[in-house]
Amino acid sequence: MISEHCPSTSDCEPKACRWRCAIEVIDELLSQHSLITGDEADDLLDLRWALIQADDAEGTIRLFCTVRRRMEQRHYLAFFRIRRWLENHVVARVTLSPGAREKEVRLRLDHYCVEALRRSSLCIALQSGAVIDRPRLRFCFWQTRAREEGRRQTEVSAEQLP
Amino acid sequence: MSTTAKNPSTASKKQAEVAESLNLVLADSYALMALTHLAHWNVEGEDFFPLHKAFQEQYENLFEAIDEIAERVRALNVYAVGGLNALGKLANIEEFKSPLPQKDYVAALIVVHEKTTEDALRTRELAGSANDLETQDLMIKRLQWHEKTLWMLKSYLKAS
Repeated sequence: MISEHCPSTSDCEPKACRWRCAIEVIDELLSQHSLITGDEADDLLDLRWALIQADDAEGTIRLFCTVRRRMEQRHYLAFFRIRRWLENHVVARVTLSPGAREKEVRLRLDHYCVEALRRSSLCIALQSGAVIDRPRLRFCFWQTRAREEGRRQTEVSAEQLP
Repeated sequence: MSTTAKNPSTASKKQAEVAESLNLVLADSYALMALTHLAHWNVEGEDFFPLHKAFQEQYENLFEAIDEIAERVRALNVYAVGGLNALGKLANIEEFKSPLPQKDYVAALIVVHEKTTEDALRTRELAGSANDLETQDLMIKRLQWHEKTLWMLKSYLKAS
């Protein structure tokens, strides 16, 4: 299962994605040898690997922010595509206080560092009158979220067995 | 000799496919026009005047094109799709939030132009295989305009 904003119903595939796949965009950037430096290529490869692994959303966003700050002005469209793709494939899961229900907030990559993104996601999750006490926030890939939900459902079904 | 004369049933099936594909281009163009109009209204910043003017030229072109595409659908004896909900659903284009930074308006419109171009290309191919030269001609005209607009929008992102 992937983002509700994606038309794909099964696995996320570039051809099914309304937004060009982030990995495809990175490959295109990497193929432009004359337009990127060696260090930038290293950063892009790290980001590519993180996206393929899809197991550390916060680390991936941190890497993205680093590469974005470095390269966006010269490759604006490419970074716009990666940004939009990430916004449709990563969510922030927020718990405002211990024991409170977890809320899901859509990621908006309007800032250039993870800390600012955490703050803005927390602000979105915080509604008027809500109590905030030792809040927790973690970024999560939609695929990971789907896997976790599937596992939880399996566990519940197993518990219900006679 | 045209396909129509050889095999009427195959020809009408192909014609229906062309009309369906044209309706998709119509929906894409309508969605693109609405988003370009939104960008025209809400763009802000140091490049306000050139972007405001460029977006106006673009939505005006799209407005004329929409009428031409819809009338071609009717000429193929199929009803044109219409209504904001129906057009939005068919186009399946994610609307962007506004306000945006000025470069984001340009980048977001590029993405929609690319989608419209893909659908127009498919329609041009379908029209070609159906020997429908009028639709093919219309799609070639639209593709030329979209490609030119894409070049201009992409150049803006490179220059600034």
